[in-house]
Amino acid sequence: MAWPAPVEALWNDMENVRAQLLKEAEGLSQGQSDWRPSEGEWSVGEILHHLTLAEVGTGKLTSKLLKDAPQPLPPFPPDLKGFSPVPAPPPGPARAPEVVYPERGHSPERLIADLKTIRERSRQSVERLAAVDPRVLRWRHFTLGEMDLAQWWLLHVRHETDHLQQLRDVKAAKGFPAS
Amino acid sequence: MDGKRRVKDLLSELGILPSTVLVIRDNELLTSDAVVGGDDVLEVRPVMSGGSGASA
Repeated sequence: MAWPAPVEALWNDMENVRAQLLKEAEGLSQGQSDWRPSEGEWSVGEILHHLTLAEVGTGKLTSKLLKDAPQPLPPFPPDLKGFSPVPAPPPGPARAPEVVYPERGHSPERLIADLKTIRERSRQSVERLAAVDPRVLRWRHFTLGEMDLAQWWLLHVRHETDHLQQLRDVKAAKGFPAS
Repeated sequence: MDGKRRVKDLLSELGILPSTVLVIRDNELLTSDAVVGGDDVLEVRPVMSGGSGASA
């Protein structure tokens, strides 16, 4: 069954940025994956691990909100043509919460496989999102405040796009291993 | 658009915070350092409050 247009657009954006991310990450050696531009910055491997953790978290949140909501949930409104924008973040740098703080040293092959596995599960989450009115499913973000489920997934796309740029910056940084 | 420039510089000229939008060219999501210009047709899709739906 075809998804509502906003859900289709969301999924296409998720897949679009993921394809670019995998293109950048595939074929990297362990040394390249673990290399940090400086001690305070993340390596490519840490970025990939962080993105996996973040996507696992959004998937778990989707399951929880769908499970805990009063049933039956209202269906996806046919007249809903777009999702509400994510609330603007407060000024200043944000630090990733502990639950999505990455580990260093995982093999690049494992990191890529995990990203692909979790994306399969995310497709099921988006499928479920397409069947209900996402505006009634709400949860508080640690810095952005309360957001509905569609906003959580929109944030996921924006977040991954930012980390794609970060990953490219790491690969372009002086001292990045040639192999 | 005259000349080539990075997405973040173009958005800055338009008064748009890069973190508030997705910029798409030919069905490809662009990161902030991507270079655009010439005949590029861009879609600027707001995802965060403070964004803009302007086309560039």
